[in-house]
Amino acid sequence: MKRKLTLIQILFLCVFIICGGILVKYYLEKNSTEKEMEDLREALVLPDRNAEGEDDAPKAETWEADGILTRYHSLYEQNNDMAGWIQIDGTVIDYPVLYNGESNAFYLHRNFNKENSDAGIPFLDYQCDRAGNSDNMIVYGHNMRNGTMFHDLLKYADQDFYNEHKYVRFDTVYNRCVYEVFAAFRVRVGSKDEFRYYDFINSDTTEAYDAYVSSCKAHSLYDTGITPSYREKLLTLSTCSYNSGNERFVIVARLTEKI
Amino acid sequence: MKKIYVSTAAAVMAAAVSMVSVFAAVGSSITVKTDKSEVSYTYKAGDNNEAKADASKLFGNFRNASKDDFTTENFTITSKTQNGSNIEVALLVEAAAVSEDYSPLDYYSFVITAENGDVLYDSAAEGASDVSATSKEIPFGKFNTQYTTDTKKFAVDYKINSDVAAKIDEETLAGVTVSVISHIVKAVPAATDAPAAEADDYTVEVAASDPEEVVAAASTATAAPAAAASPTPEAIEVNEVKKVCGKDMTAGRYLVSGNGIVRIEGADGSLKSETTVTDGSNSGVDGVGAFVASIVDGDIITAAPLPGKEKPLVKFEKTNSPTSPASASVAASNTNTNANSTKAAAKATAAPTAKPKTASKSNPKTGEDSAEIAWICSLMAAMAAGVVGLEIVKRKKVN
Repeated sequence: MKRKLTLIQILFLCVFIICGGILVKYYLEKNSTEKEMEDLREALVLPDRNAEGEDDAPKAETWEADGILTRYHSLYEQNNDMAGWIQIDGTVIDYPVLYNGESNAFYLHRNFNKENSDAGIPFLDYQCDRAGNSDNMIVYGHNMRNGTMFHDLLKYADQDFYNEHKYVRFDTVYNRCVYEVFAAFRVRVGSKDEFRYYDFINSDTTEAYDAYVSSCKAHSLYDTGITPSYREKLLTLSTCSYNSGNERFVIVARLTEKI
Repeated sequence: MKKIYVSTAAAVMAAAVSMVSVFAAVGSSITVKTDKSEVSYTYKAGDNNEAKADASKLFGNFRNASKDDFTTENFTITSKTQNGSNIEVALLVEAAAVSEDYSPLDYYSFVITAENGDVLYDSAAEGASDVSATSKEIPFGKFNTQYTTDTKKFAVDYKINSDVAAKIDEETLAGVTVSVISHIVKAVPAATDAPAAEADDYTVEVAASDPEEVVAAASTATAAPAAAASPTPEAIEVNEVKKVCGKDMTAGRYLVSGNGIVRIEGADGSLKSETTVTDGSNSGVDGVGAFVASIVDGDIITAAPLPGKEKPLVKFEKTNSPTSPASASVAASNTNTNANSTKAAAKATAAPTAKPKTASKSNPKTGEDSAEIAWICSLMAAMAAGVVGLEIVKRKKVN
């Protein structure tokens, strides 16, 4: 009898150790994701400072012969799926954006090197034009509980944060672009009256465009006083919100600067 | 004897000034080109500091233009002056006054749009001409305010005014002429004490094809501004100090080369970049052979001379070439392509409309799946509790 109980104890202990190993692996992977992102940021080829070393006199952007910005060319050569870069002041959001033309699922759980990764990497909607010509560029990113990826997007639920951080940078690999946030809202995916913001990519008519903008503003948590006009390019950033099941937190912005 | 010498000296000086005037005038020119037509006109300036040339062949099949839709011709006008004069260039419509009901000057309706999208002239906004007027000018604006060679592009939309067409007779219509006219707005006096130079001789060259080709090459109506249709790179030689984008040059990507220190500031005065370009002929100067700058409306571009030089000579060239120019300088000399270039387009995907939107497009789940971790933690707790519980049972049995 005693022997049987001991065997059962050993079995429980083995399961305990295996579970512990899985947890350790999980947290190590989280840390390595951030390390990978740091490495990607360091791989950016930023324009040189001028000879005098003055930080307020940056050199002009340059492009390679294939039209790719020099700053992103090295990363682009590593992975041609690189579509751009997203960066928001006041947040940790400073990541490359990848693109798979076939499916939104590919980079949901893959990193920059296409290896399996729970955190995935921010990615552009497969229906968008990676050169930035779509009326609405949609970028998705995971909301990681450790505060990485698009977790900080939820800061825009606070209007005070919005007032201090109205602009979002989303570069394609061809152009540097700045967008101005005009709406921030939550959407329950699968609900009867779901606002399917992720269906709006291009509009052939003013009416369709205006309808999308109106819906964004109607759902918005606060009024920014900004109403984009037809043909103004839009950027939509989407992540999961943990407020309730299957809820998304979304911010929408309009293009204000393109180089 | 003294009087002879003075008289001779005065005559020589007068002759020299005249020669200077002539040589100053030689090389002053205005060139008007369209992208379809190739007709050349040359003429000399008349009185009143102005010159003109027939422009009808610039407009394709002018007399049979549409009454319903505008036809667009893209004009590229280059004005070169040697003595710093400002030149105003315009279309001049002339016709005899024949009626109190209408003016033949309104036979053609025009809309002139600058490259930056500004509408310089719109017949509809101007309203009907005075029935007694015999000419009207449709302005392209002032040239050479900052450069001795000044090139600007315009979209010229034209159509026949059906109201006037219904009233005008053939004889009157034959008398309606359209010319390109240029005026000296500001004459710069000669540097010496000699009398001011006479008005420049103008050579107006209007590039167009043979008449047969002009008729055959009927314009297609397009509302696109000239900047969108230009097939050739725009090149501007900068000898001056400052340019403002949107006013002196169009927005876009430029390959910047030459010799000078190029500073680009935003409209708010914030410094965007400062780059030294050199062709390698200036020893001790560190710089790049060329670089690409993206310039937007409002940007202020300043070119300063290199150390030891009197003035900069910097060239801004709109880049459409897919390949970088050869450069002996730093490897930072790159050219950029239009993002719609062949190579870039090959890497970019097709427009989303090429991908059918399916009703079943799902919203990707971008939340962290923490349920798995919760189960694992619960299992660990259960296993730990099991080990401890069994140990307690074992010890009770022993006791």
